[in-house]
Parts: sequence; structure tokens; C-alpha cells
Amino acid sequence: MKKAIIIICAVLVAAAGVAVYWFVFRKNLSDSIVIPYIAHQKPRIDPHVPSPIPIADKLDEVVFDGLFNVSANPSGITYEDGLGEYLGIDKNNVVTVRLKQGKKWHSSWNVTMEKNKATITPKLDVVFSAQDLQFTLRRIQKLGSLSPDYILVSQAIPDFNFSGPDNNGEIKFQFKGDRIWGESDIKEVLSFKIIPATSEMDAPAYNIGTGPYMLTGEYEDVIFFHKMPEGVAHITNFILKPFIDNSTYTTELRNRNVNTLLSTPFGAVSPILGDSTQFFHKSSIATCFFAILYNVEKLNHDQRLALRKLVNNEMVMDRFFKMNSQQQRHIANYKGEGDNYAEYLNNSVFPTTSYYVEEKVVTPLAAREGPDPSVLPDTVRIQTCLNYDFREELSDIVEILNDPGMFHGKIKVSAVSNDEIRRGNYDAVLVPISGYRSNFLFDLYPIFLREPDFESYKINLQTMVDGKGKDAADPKCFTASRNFFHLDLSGSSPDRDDTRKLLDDIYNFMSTREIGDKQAYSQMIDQLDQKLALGSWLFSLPSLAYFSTQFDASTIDLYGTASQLSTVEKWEERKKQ
Amino acid sequence: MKTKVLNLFVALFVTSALVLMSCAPYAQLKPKPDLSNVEQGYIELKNDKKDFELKKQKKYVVTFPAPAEDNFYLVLNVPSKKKMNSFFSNSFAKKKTPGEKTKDETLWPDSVSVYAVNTKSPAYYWFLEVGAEDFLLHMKYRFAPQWRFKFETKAAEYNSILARNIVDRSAYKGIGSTTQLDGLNYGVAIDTVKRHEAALEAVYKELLAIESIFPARIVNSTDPAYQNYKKLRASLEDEMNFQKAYLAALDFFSKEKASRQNPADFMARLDDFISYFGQKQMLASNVVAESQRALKGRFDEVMPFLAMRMSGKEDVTPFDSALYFTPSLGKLVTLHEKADISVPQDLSQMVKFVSDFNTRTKTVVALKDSLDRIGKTVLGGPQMPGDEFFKTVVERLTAVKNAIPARIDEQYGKFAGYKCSQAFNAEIAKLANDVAQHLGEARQAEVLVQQVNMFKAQGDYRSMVGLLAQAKQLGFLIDKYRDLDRMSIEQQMKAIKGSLSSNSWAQAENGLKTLHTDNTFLNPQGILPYKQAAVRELEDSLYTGVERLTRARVNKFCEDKVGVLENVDSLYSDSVFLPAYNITFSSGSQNHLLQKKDALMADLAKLKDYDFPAKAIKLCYEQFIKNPEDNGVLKARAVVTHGNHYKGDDKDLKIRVAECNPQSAKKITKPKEYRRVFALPITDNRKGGKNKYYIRLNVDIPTDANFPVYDVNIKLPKEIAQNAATSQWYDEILLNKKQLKNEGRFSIGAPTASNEYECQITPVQMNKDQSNILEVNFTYHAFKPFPVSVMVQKPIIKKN
Repeated sequence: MKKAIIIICAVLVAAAGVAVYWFVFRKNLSDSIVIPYIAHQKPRIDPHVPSPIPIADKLDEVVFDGLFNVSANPSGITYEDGLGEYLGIDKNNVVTVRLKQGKKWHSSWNVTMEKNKATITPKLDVVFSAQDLQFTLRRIQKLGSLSPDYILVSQAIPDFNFSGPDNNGEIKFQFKGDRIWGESDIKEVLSFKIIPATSEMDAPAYNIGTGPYMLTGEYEDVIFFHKMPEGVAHITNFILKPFIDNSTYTTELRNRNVNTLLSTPFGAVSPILGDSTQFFHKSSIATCFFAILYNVEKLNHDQRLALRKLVNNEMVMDRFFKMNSQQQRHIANYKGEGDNYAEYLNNSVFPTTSYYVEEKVVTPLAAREGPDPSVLPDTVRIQTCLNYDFREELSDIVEILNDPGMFHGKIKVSAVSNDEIRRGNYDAVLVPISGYRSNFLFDLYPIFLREPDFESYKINLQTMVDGKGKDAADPKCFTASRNFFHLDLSGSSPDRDDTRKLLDDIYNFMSTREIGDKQAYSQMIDQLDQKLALGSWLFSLPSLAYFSTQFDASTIDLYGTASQLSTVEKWEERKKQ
Repeated sequence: MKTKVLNLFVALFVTSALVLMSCAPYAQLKPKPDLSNVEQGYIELKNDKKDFELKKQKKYVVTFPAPAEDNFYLVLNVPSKKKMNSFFSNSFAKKKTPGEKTKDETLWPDSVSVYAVNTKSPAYYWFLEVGAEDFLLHMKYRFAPQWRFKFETKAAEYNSILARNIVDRSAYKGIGSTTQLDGLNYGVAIDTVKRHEAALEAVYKELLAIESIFPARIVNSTDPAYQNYKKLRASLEDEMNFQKAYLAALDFFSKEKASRQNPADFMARLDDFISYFGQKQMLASNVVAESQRALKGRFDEVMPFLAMRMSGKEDVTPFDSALYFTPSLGKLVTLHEKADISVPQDLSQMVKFVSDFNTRTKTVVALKDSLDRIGKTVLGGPQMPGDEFFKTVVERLTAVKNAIPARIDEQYGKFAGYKCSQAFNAEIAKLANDVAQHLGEARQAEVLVQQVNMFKAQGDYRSMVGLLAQAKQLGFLIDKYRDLDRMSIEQQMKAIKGSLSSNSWAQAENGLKTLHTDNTFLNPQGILPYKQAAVRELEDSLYTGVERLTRARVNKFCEDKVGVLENVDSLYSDSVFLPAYNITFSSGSQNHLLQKKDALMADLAKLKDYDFPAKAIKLCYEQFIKNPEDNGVLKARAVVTHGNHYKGDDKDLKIRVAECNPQSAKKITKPKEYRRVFALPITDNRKGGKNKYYIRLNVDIPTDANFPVYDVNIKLPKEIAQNAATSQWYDEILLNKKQLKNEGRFSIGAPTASNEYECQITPVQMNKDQSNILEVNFTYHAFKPFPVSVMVQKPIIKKN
């Protein structure tokens, strides 16, 4: 009897514990989209300039609207009205768009945060107007080749201008007449995100938009967004949760601390997220690759050639994914069968997944040829910084490269501080290049013109007008201290002409809106890269997103090179059976 | 008052008298005693024994009675005839208007008037118109028979004429004795006698005229005038007869003299001589005797002349009448007879010979004509005559045979030996032979025709030919059947054509073989070209017929089957694409046959491999395009299947086939142009099931770009795309077998109502100078074609 009483009490205590856990400690993520981010890399949103922080670019779609918003359905990309309503295009390629009336900027509401609770109350309406559109266009025009939107708009509307609005709020764009403009193309051109005219032209970040979610504030580094009171989003909260690094992301998802993981460590299928009743994943094209960028001031041409010959990226990738081991990191493939590692192996500054390689516009160097490794210094000192995004991946690559069995101890990779990186005291630097697009708009600036700084993201693009009156890259773009390669055109060097040409080609590649030009420049850049041996282009990271089955998988469409959050307003929670 | 009435009465009376006077211009003279019509010599015309007193410028009339008999004269003896104008008439109408004037026959116009009167008029009127002076009418009148009046007035003249024209008769009487005829000037003599004769003749005619009006009672009368008349007439006739005889003798002897040594002239004057001797009764005997003597001399000349001329004739034509004087031979006999000279035997034989010769030669000519006519009858007779035709010919020939004249034999004396007689005899001998030969042939033909006609009645031309071929010596008969060869061939042709028309090819071919080897003809060489032409024609017809039937069958097949949408493949294994009959016969070389057969086979192959599929493709495609909703898939598939069998190189057809073949990539060769293509199912769930559809495009746009890249824009039917927002409308999109996915660097635009259901695939990289096959596969609950419009153009650079 006593024994029975003990058992009954134990059961009651357990039940009470469960009840306490359920009602007190259970993580309630309902009606919220919760995504992790690296705590010390708070996303700064600039809808017109790429960010090194992946989530920052993706938030463009959360906060801002274009005249038309890119969306998707199961059949592909769609364009939905944002701040404009498409009325048509006439035979003279004049596109008429009616500006949506009464579209409110997020600043139309007062937001007060009490801990993690936001209270939103309306205040004076601040509505979208043609001035906002005009301001945005001026900004994009000013950004020039730094902004993908510049290319997008300039190929259709060279003057970045429009007429109107008239009494009906209709404005007219004069599109170029060199093609048939379909509605989708027109909406694509006009899908750049619009910021209010009251914004600063060169603000560090832009948070006021008209998009489905408005930033409400932060609490304990958690960044809160709330759906626009009059918006169409199905889920109320959009939350960015901070974590030290990405190593625990999968665990956090499994532990319900987050319910959306836009990228997983190693881009691999996670064994701990294998329960399909709890999670589902969606694969998309890679947006990040790893590279070892050579310091031309430390390594001469022969040494760079030798180093490139020495670094066998396939071996590195195999080790990275622990190929043929029980711990192999399997990858998904949006095209079909998984474990398609070979498609991620890069041999050019243009990743294999990119249009330029996949369509054989450039032919990457297959066999690495170069002088004997003996020309190399005893140890090639490679540095990287593990304090920012992709820490897990970089750590693994460091370990692999430092493995004496791999490169005969010739390579020594050190994880250093960002300051050390800035000093440039390295023979080469291991960097992740994230947020790249595999389409025509593959971005070379983050590779060649980014200042050697893991923390901040500065593109040292300086332009000038050349002798023919055309915009051109200023040689100052290649200032040793302002790029990972320490390329410099201020002095003389044996590679100076090639380097100068490389700069010109990069600028031309980035600023042209002609596909043929891009193809030609991509070939020239690839050939110069092969000649100059500026780096080892290791491999790309598969892009794999995980979602909690809290969400209805059918409402989440990922597509192409667009943001994974482009359709965030359509996400819905799974309806209980 | 009374005075005025009296005056008026007198005026009226005077006026009436004047009017009456003016209406009767001839005053009637009424002699006393009354006028008498009795023949009694001249009677004075008196008015109570006085002469009538005639006033100047006056007109008078005297009414005479008609005579008691006809042919009377009223003779008026008026010495003062010149003082007036007078005329005579048998009528005086209403005593106002004189009738037709009677001719005055007087010989003394100044004082006598003679008017013929008769009993037909009751009265006669003598009208007088007095001249410029008055005078007393002293006159006599007389009613007298006309003969008497005339004879009395001309008897003296007649006697005088007779006396002046009497010819001396001594020369005539001296002929044969004293008169020397040879020295006589016949012309002068004859003219003289003729002149006298003419004068006498004139008188004689007047006498006869007077005699013609003799009253019946005068004959046998003793009327002196009449007796004088008779005497004068007898004298006149005697002289006239003499002169006639003398003239005849003169004429004879002059002609006899002229024909001496000139038999032809003699023969020409036979009629004159015969006529002369015909009136020998009026001639004196001495004259007749002398005439006979002269004539004999002429006969002695003319007979040798005629015999010599006849002996020179060699032909068998009748004697020419002019050359041989045949009409005169009989006159020559007559002349003998008229001249009382016996006819010599020589002349009799000659006359008979000439007569018979002429008759017989004419008969021969007539028989020859008959023979010719019979020949012409045979020749001109009907082709393939009836049984009676040659029977009649035999009868006619027999008649000719029987009518052949006898030979000129010994009964004609020396004339039988003349050349013309011998020629004639030879001629009739030849004629007899000819007739006998023709008769024999005709009899053969008569028998043969009856036999041939029996076959003819059976339509057995070949047997007819067989019979006739054995009697080719009867050319005239064979000629009657000159069409038989042709008919025999035509009969065979007809049979063959019948077989051809009933598509009995084997029968036709056998008939053709028989015809080709047939040599039973009346004129094999002559008919050969025709037969060869017939064989060629029929052979062509056979081939053409087989070909036409084959083509007709194929055409009908094609017409019937061109719209067939299922089991299309089986159409091409149909036997209709084989010849309707396998022809083994050829009149030419075997190569010729093989060439013909090959040509037909080639044509059939062409029909099968080119024409039929081409037509079917066109039709099915046209129907498909016209109404894709109506069995469109089956039509498209039919087009494709036909296209698989089509061996031509018509690009348009191939394009149509490609358009209907879901497996065939539709070429896109121009940018910025929408092109319609059809999405077609490749599965076969027809009733409500799902079907897999293909759209295959081959983007092959000429470009200078090394790495051509395009947007591919596909406008979809609403039906397919309307649910694209909730489920992916396509199964997969492939470029050169590589799958394009929206998750990759490709952008696949979703078709929506706002973009008119246009799906954009971009950027689609093309291989330069190679085929770039873009495949869009989707599944849909339908079994029908879906038209989609495809357009490619250079892409824009997209951010997303």
C-alpha cells in the first residue's frame, strides 16, 4: 500500500511538472516567424545595396515594397502589386502605373516596446507618394553599379525618371524600345524597393518601409517586427533571435527556440532535424562560397601560381563534407538527387553554380599548373576571422587546411581578430563570400573591392570620368590596404597592367547592363584571374533552409536567386487537423 | 301678152330646128326608083329621073341594099368622084356615125369604086362629103359576082401572059437522040424555063383564086365567062406540066454530069435522083431511057468505091455514116428500083453486111456496157452482200452471155473476110470468154456469200475471214469484205474493251494476247498496222485502265481515308497501293513492260509516299488548325503518322508535321515574334484522364553573340494556367535535356491572369550554332491540343 501511494505521488509530481513546463517554460512560437542571427552582426537593411550579412538582404523583402513585389507560387515567380498598379504599356513603350493611394509608411504608427511586447498605435498617416519613388530612383542612380537595382532599372529606364503623377495618380515611364516588354519584365524592373523621400541618401540603414512587417524594436538583442496593421501578412510577428554563432542553429530549431532556419551549418542536411513531422527543408541555389584570397604584396606571381596549384579545393571540400565517412554531411539538391557535391566545387572567381560557368561563358582552369611549391615560403600564412558569420564552416576549413596531411604543412591557417585582418599581415586570407547571385548580377565588388574587414562591409568603389567621357573605375579602387588582395595601382609592379585591366574589367562587368558585355568581361576577368593567380576558389556552400512544421510548407515558396523571404507575407501556420 | 307668147314659141322652134340639124350631118339621099341588088349590069341612080343635086360643103349618105348572095361587088361608077370625098361602110349607127370603112378595090380610082359586099349586113352605106362647089350627082351602080367582075376585067391579060411564056419543046423531045446534053448550058436553060414557069404559075394562082369564089351553080353552066375561064386554065396547065418535066430532066442531067468520077458527090445526090425517077411518069420515054443509061454509068463507079473504103476498116465500131455513106446504101438500092434497074447482089450483101455489122457491134458495145455495169454493180454493190446479190449478178451475166451476137460468117460473102469482120469476130469471142469467166466467178461468189453470211449472222468474223481467205482469187468478192479484217479486229477490240470496261483485266489481257498473235486476215500485211495500233491502243488501255482503276481506288481510298484519324499506319499497308492487276502481257519488249510496270509501281509509290500523305497532312492539318477542339489530338497524330510515311521534301508539309508532333521541336528563328505552337498530349487517356503534354521548341536564332541567351515567353491557355497559383502547372522544363528549376539561377515566371498567363523562362542560354531544345512538359486533365504562343528575345538582367 505504501508502495502504491509512493507511485501515485510520483505520478502526480510528474504531471505537475509537465503542467508547469507546458504552461510556464514551453516556448510558444505561435503566430511568429523566428529566425536566428549572429548576435554581433546585427543586420543593417539597405534595400539597394548588397549586404555581407545574408539576413540583412533578405529583410529587404520583409520591410519594403517596390512598385511591384516579387513573389512566387508553385508555378514560379509572380509579381504582385506593391505600391503601384500596372495599367499597361503602349506601342511607344510608355508604361503607365497608378500609384497606390493611401499606402502608409511604417512611420504612420507609434510603436512602444515593453520588454518583448510591442504596442502599435496609429499616428499621423505618412503615405507613399511619387516623391518617395523619385527619391528612391535618384538614390539608385547615384549608387550606380554598387546597386543591383541600378542595372535593373537602367536597362529599361535610362533616365531613371518618370512623368506624373496625374490626377489619377498615374505615372508614366518611358521604357527603352529595344525589346518587347512583357508585364513580368516591366514589374521586375519596377520591383526595386522604395524608401521614403525623407530618408537620408546615404543612411547606414533603412528601416522605414511599407512592407508586410514593420520594425518594432529590440529587446535583449531580439529584433522584433510586427505585421503592418493594415497589411496582408498571415503571421503577426517576425522575430530575429541572436546567437553567438551558427553552430547551434540546428539545435535551436530542434529546441523550438527558432522555427525558421534560412541556412544550416555546412549547408548540409541536419541529422537532428530529420523528423519530417517536425521539420521540413527546402533547398535552393548556393549564395555563398569560400575562397582563399592571395595577398599580392606577400606572394609574388610564381608563388601565387604555386599556391594555387598546391591548394586542392576538391580535397578540401571532400574533407569539409566528410565524404565517404559515417559523418558525411549530406546535401540536398533543389534540382533532384542530393549529394551533388561536384556542382559546388569552384575553379574560378565565378562559382560553378553561376550562370557564367554553368553556361560555359567562362571556362575555369581545370588543371592547376604552376611552379613547384618550393617557390613558396616555408609556410604560407593564411588568416581568417571566426567571429562572424559562417564560423562553423570556417573553423572546419581552417582545420582541414592546417591538416599536415593535406598540404605537407606548407599552409598555416590562423584564426585572427578582425583587426589583424585589417592589417593585412597575411599571405592569404580565407573568406566567405556570401549573398552572391548566380544570375547575370553576380557581384564582383565583395570579392575585389571589399575592404579587408570581416565586421564591416565597405566597398571601395571610386569612379572617375575617363578620357572618353565615360565613367570608369578610379585606380584608387585598388589600394593595397583596401582590399583583401592588397592589389594596388599606385606604384609599379610587374602585374600592374594586368591589375589595371582587371579593375577596369570588374567595373565594366558590374556597371554594364548588356548581357553580351557581361559575358565578355566575365571571360576576361576569369582569364586575368587565371593569369594573375589571385586566389583559390574553394567551393560554394549549399543553401538549405529548415522550417518547423508549424508552418504550412505549401505556403512557403523559395525560388531562384530571390530572397528566401520574398513571400514571407504568404507564410501560414499549418492548420491543425 | 299674146304677142310675147308667140315670139317665145317661134324662138323655141327655131332653136330646136337648129339643134336637130346639127345632130344629123349626113343627109340621106333616097333615090327613086329604089336601089336594086339584082345582077343586071349598071343601073343609074336617080331622084325621080333626075340626078341628085349636091350642095357644097354638105354631107350625104346613100343606103344600098345587101346582095342576094355572098362574094358580090357593089360597083359605083361616079364620074364626078373627084368633087367629093366618099367612103363605104356596112354600118351607120343611129344614122349618125359611119362604121368601119370598106376597102375600095377599084382599078379606076378616079371614077369607079368597087366594094365587096355580102349578105351578112342588111344594108350598106355610101357617104359623100361635098367639096367646094355644088354639083349634080350623075352615077351608076351595079351588083356583080366577084369572079365574074375579076375575070372579065383580067382575062385578056392572062392570055397575053400565057402566050409570052410558052417554051420550045424540041430540045426536050431530042434527048437521047438529037439533043446533045453534054454541050448544054444547064444553068441558062434551067433559069429560062424557071422564069417562064414562074410567070405562068402566077397567072395560074389568080385563076385558082377566081375559081375559089365560083358559085356552085356555075359548074356545068354555059356562062360564057365561065367557059372562057376553063379554056384558059387548060392551056395554062399543059404548058406548065411540060415545063416541069423539062426542068426535072435538066436538073437530073446536070447533077449526073456533076457527079461523074465523084462517087461521094453521087452518093450525096441520091435523094435527088430517087425523086427524079419517082416522077418518071411525067417524063417522056426518051428522057427516061437516057436517064437510066446515065445512071448505070454512075453505079459502075460507086460500088467499087464503097467496097474499097469498107475493106480498109479494121475496128469493130459501127460504120461511120459520113465516111461509109451507110444511110445512103439503102437509097442506092431504092434508086436502082426507082430507076427500074435491077439491084446487084454485091450491093445487097453490102447493105446487109453493113447493117448487121453495125447492129452487132452496137450489141457488143451494149453487152460490154452491160458487163461493165454488172462489174460496177458488183464493185458498187453493198459490202458484205446478201445472198441474193450474186444470184442477180449471175442472172444478168447469163443474159449477157445469151445476147452475144453471131459471128460475121460466109453469108456475107467477101465482107466476111474484111478486117473489121475478123476483128468483130475476135471481139465477140473475147467477150464470150470474159462473160463466161465472170459468170463462173459470180457463181462461186454466190455460193460463198451464202456460206459467209451464215457466219456473219453468228457474228463470227474470224470464220468469215477463214472462208474468204480460201477464195482470194475472187478479188471482187474479197474487196466486198475489205472491212472484215478491221471488223474482226474491232470485234476482238470490242470484246477486250468490254472486259476492260468491266475491269475484267485477265480476260482483257487474254483477248489482247489473242489479238496480238492473230494472223487470220484477208490482208494480213495490209491490216497489220491497224492491228498493231489496236494492240497498242488496247495495251495502253489495259495499262491505263489498270492504272486508272488503281488510281481511282487509291484516290477513293485517299478520299475516304484522308480524314481517318486512327490506325493511320495501317492505311499504308493497304493493298490499294498495289496495282489492281498484275499485267504480264506486253506487245513490246519485256523491258518495255517492266518499265511500264515500274512506272505504275513508281506512281503508286508516289501516291503512297508522297501524294496521299501530303494530301492527308494538308487536310488533317487544315482541319486541326481550323478547329483544334474537334478531335484535335487525333488529327495532329494523324498528321504526324502521315508525316512518318511522307517521303517528299515539301518543307511546308514537314513544318506542318513538325507542328503536330509533340516530340518535334518547333523552330523559333526570330526574336520578338510570337509564334503559335500546340501543346499536344503524348499519352492516350481520352476520357477524363490525365495526359502528359509536350511543348518542344528549338530556339535557333541567328546571332553574332558567342553566348546567346534569351527569355522564352510562353503564353498559355487560361485553362492550363488558371490554377498555376496553387499548383505548379508544368511537370518539368528542360533545356537540352537539363532541367530548369525555379530554385536555381533560372527565373520561371508564373502565368497569371494579370500577365495574360504568360510564363517566362529566363535566362535561357543557347548553344551557338546548335539546336537548343527547350522542352516544357505538363500534365492536364484533357485530351486536346492547347495552343500556346511562344516568343523569345534577349533577356533583361534580373535581380531575382
